[in-house]
Formats: sequence, structure tokens, C-alpha cells
Amino acid sequence: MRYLPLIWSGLRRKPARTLFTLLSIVAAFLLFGLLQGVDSSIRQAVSRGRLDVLVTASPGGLPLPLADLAQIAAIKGITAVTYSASFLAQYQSGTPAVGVMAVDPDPYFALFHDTITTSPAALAAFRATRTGALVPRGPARERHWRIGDPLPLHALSAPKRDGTSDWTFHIVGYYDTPGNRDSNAGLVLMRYAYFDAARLLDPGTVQLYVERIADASQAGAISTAIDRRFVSSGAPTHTDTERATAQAQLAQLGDLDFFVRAILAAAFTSLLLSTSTTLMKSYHERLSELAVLKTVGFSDRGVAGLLVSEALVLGLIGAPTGVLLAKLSFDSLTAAKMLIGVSLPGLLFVVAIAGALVLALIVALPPAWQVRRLSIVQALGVR
Amino acid sequence: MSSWRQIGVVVEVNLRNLRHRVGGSLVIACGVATSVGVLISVLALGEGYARASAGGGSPDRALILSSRAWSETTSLIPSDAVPGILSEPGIARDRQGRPIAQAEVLAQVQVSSRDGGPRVNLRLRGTGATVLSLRPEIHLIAGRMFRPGLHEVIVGRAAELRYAGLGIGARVSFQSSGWVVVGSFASAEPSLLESELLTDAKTLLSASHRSGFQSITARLADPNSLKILQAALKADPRQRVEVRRESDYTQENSLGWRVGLDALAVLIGGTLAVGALFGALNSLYTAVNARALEIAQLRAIGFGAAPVLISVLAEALLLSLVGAGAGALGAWLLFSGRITSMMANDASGQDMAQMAFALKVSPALMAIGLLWGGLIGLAGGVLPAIHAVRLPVARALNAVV
Repeated sequence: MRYLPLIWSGLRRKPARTLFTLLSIVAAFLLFGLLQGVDSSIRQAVSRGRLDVLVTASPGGLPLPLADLAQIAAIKGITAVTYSASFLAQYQSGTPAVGVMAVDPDPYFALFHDTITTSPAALAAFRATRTGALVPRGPARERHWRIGDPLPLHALSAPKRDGTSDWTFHIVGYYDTPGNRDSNAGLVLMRYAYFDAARLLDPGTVQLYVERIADASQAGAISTAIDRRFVSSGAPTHTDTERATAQAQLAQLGDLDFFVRAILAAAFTSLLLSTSTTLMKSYHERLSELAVLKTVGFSDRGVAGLLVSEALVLGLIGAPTGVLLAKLSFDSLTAAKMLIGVSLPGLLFVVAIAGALVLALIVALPPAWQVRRLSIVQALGVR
Repeated sequence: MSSWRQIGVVVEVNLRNLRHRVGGSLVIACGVATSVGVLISVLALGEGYARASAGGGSPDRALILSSRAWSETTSLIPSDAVPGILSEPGIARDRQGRPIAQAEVLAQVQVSSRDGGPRVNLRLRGTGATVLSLRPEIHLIAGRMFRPGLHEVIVGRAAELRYAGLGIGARVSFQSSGWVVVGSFASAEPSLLESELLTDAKTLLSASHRSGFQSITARLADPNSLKILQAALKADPRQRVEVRRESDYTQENSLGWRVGLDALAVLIGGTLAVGALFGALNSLYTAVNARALEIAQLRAIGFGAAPVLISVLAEALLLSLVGAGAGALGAWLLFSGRITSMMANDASGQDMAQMAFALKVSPALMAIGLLWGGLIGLAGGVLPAIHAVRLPVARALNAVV
């Protein structure tokens, strides 16, 4: 603690240089925060997938017959099964597309009771109204959708038998997704009965089945049993846990992981080089000062400690600042509706601080090592 | 001495001194190299994606989808409507008078990457043997064409390079049956089609229990016959289809990701540029201070302020251009031609399965990189240059370095 003034004066020796070094540390950790933020959100999304819930879909991308429902329900180990069919629609032209999911009300809310909730009155209204729709509370509030309002949507991928793609619903209630503020952001729930009766393509089919099983350790066996049941039915299936399905969907995004890692590596190497060169240069300039310190009685380790501390102070200020800026960017982008579903876990700050520590050590060690071999007389003679 | 000569002399002296400032120079060059390298790499990703995505579309062909269908996957054209559509004017015909067109239907198969990644979806397109004359840019490179009525497929080159289990003789599972790979094809230009598997349309229809085709692709008799075809189809009350130029359709589809990737390139490249900027500022300030005596001597003997200013800018520009060149070269060496894959989307945002494509580091991108690097250098050089000019001459002459 008593060395703080020394450390401070060391940093203040060339204030511009200290500032610029600090800012480049901030820039590198800003990038780190941005990339890691996206990465963590992806991981979070995957880990929300449960292991005691299975998803059954067609590996060929084809619709599955609704008639399969009874056969799936009969398989041992399955405690509940429901289905859904989805399509994209637009509320008004020019606005981002809205997802619409056609479901069977009671089995759906029963199976997903821990991720999606609605009031009993809303569920009853949904059950009773053929053209009823449940909308997510948050997005509904922003779009000024109120209970009782008609909701006309223009489907982008679900033409109707009457030749149009215009579906009209009536909002009968809101639903909430308590565990996850951004899940299904904007997904409108509609009645499967209405969807199937009015649609042109593939009537009597669903896109996927979702099953709840009693024992998560049996997931593999039950998945195989389901798939075996339909393998020669003309509509073969592929069943996997909800989590594995989420992971596979993310794999569809592409090769991004490689690029993220490559960019991070490039950024950090560049930062390391920049900071270490700057520090080493400052050491050379302060040769005589460091010699004075040694003369006065500082041990080699003490001087080394001073150098490391200076780098540490820079890092401990710069790294969390960079991550904080990343968090602020995500928050403002989310508020401006340009981004959904990205949040920075608090853990990232801890990682940033740890990173700053490691950085400080790596960067300050070579000059600190050279201090040990500093000949005092030689150093004092340098002008 | 004229001012131009002054500038020349001071710049030359400065650049010769660079070898005394290797550390600082490296910082500038490496910082800029990183920013430019990353910028170009991500831009190359977007460029490769857009080229492949739009590459399958030709202005000589028309794509016919059912009315108000935004994409092939949501379109349905009943089988009995097909002959009527094919008989409309505007469609090119071969020597026997048959229309050069093909009704197509889509499905998907699952494959894993060669590097052991998770399973992804690839497009399985049901078309006909006439696909080679309909799309003359495609040619078989190995094996033979699939035969109608049999569970046979041919594989696009990009898919075969990136994914495992697609060699000739291998079996791909679709609807519980193994479909044999009997050949592979390539496209003269990068194309989404090279990430697909092709098979016979009617065979695919019956295997997937579909009731109709999803699209008709037809060669136009000449580039202007699109309007004739559109008018004829609109006038026919039995047909509820829409026609557009195939290149317009693929162009629209390619925009989504391209815009996003370009924005990402600028965001990440920009952040790295800011970092490089601060590194450059650091180094250049140090460089100017190291040259304090030299600058003071030059000023004392009569050199003007402008040459000193320009010499600092020249140092900044040179180092950053060297860095930019290194970054561009690095991006080119590491990534050009590298095959990656991403989810292809259509204009309505629906997933169209994976598209494997090669990154392309084009000369235009390298030029953008050099410009970007130069700008960083200039931005980083301005303040130190002004600082150099403002160095107090007399004090500097007396100072001990």
C-alpha cells in the first residue's frame, strides 16, 4: 500500500502513453466482451434445453402425420406428448417477421408448464375460441396488442385454402416465460384446429412432437423406441433430447466458432505485443530511476513487483471497463430492438479481471527479469 | 531550398531513422495488420457467401412458384398444372420442341462435417436428367447421372468436400431408405447448388408423399421473354403461379447474411482499429520525443514546420500500410479458398439448409484493407505530427536526451 504513490508516479510519468495503453486494453477487452457475450448467450440457450424432454421431427424436413400422436403416447416411459406446427408471418409490412405456433392448448401448457405460463382465464378463453391467440406479454405491450383486439397476420409460409395468406386472430390473453425473458420473443400461439382446417399445404400433419419422459436417463432408449416405431411408416422420425436438438440447431448457424476463436487470438496477441513493447520502452527510459531505487535499498523482487503492479493497475482498470462497455453496447442494442437474446453473465467480469492479471504478469516479467541483472553503476551513469 | 525538397529531405531522414525505433514501429504495423486482417477475413466470408448464394441464379432462367409463396419450400404446384405451365410462350425449347424446364421438389438429408462436427441439414433437390441442359453451368465431374425411379443421387462438389459420407457408392439415408451416390457435379461459378444433392423429382415426390412440386425452373427463350411468360401466366385463370427472374430471386436471398456479415466485419475490425490507433499514438509520440533533438536541429537550420509534420505522417502512413499489407496477405494466405459453411436463408428468413462455400479474398477486398490501414495510420499520425511541430526548439537543443 505504501508503494502506491510510487506506482502512481510511474504511471503518471508519461500520462499520454499511459492513457493510450489503457485505451488499447479497453478496446481489446471490449472485443472480448462482445464475442464472449454472443458465445455465452448461445451456450445459455442450449443449456436451457432439458434432458427429460424429447423432440421428434422428420430428418427429411417433411411434415409428420398427426395420426402418429396415439402411437407415440403408447410408448413406455412417456408421460405426456404434444405437437406443434409453426410458420412465419408479418404483422405490418416492413416490420420484422413474427413466429406463429399452432398448438393444442391443454397438452401444450401442461407439458411446458415450467417454461411458459398463462392465467387460467386466458387458457380457458384460448380453449373456447377457435380463432383465439395468446401473445407474449412484453412484445404485446410494445406493439399495443390488447385482449379483445383482432390480430390480422399475413403469413409468409402458410397459404390458406381460400387463396390468400391472411390469417385473422383474436387476442384472448397473454402468456409469460418466467425463466427466460427473451425466449420465443414474439411467438404468437394459435389453435391447431383452426390452422389445420384453413391451411392449404399438408393438412393433417405437424412439424414436431414434444414428449416428456419420466426418467431422463432413459432418454436414449425411448428416443430409439420412438424412431423404431416409425422407421417403415413412410414418415420416419428422428428423436433427441430438447438440449441435443437445440445444439444441433445452433450447429446449423455455421462455422462461427472457429472465426470467433481466431479473432480473439489475433486481438490478444496484438494487444500483448503492444503493451509489452510499451512497457519495455518505459523501462529503458527509467533505467536510471530504477537504479536509484536499487541503490536506496529496493530488492530485485521489489522493483519487479513495482513493474508488475503498474501493469496490473492498467489491466485492472482497463479490462473491466472494456467488458462494461460491451455490456452497455448489448443493452443499448437490445433496447433499440436491433438485437435479442444476448446478455453478458457476471462471470465475464471475473474472467476479464483474471485475464488482466495474467496479462500483467506476462507483460511485466521480461523487464522485471532484466532488472535483476541491472548493474547499478552502469545504470546510474546513463543519461 | 524549396518546400518540396525540404519535405523530401526530412521524410527521408526520418525513414532512415526507423531502424532505431523497431519496437514502436512493430507495434504500429502489427496493430494495423490485426485490424486489417480481421476486417478482410470477415468481409471475405460475406463475399464468399453472397457469391455462392447468388451464383446459382441466372438471368436467362425464370423461377416459377405458386402465388404469394415467398420461397421454394412454401410453394406448391399441383402435378397436373405442370404441363400447362410448360406450354406457355417465353420458355425456350430444344430441337425436339420440348420445353427446357424442370419441375422441382425439395427435401433434406443429414450429414456430418468431415472435421467431426455435428450433423447438419443439406438440401435434397428432386429435378430431372435435363438439369444439365437447363443449367449449363453444371457438369458432372465423376460417376454418372441418377436414373429415374431409383433411389440414386448425385452430390455437389462443395458438399462432397466439406461433409463426410458423400463419396461415390456411399449411401445417404432419406425416409428410412439408403439412397446411393452415383456421381458428383460441379458448377462453373460458386453456387448454392454445389451444396445440394440432386435426384429424380418424381422419385422424390413419391418417397416423401408430397402431392405436388414446389417450383418450376425454365430457360427463357431470350432474356426479354420474361414479360411474355409473366403475361401469359397471369392471363391464364387456371394457373395460380408467379414468375420471376431466377437471378433476382437468388440475389434477394443472398442479401440477408451479407449485410449482417459486413456489419460484423466493420464492428470487429473497427474495434481492433481503435486498439491499433492507440498503439500507434503511443509509438508515434515516443518516436517524436526520441527525435526531439533531431527535429530541433532541423528547425534551427531553417526547415519549416510542414516538412516536420509531413515526416511524422509519412512514418505513420508507411508503417500502417506495411502492416495493412501484411494483414491482407495473412488473410489471403489463411483464408482464401477455405471452405466453410453457413446456414443459407431465403428472403423471408427461413432456413434453406447449409451452404458450403469458399471464402474469397478478392483484390477489391485487399484494396479496402489497404485503405482502412492507411486511414488508421493517418488518424494516428495527426496528433503526434502536431506535437512534433510544437516542440520548443531552443529547449530541445539544450536538452539532454
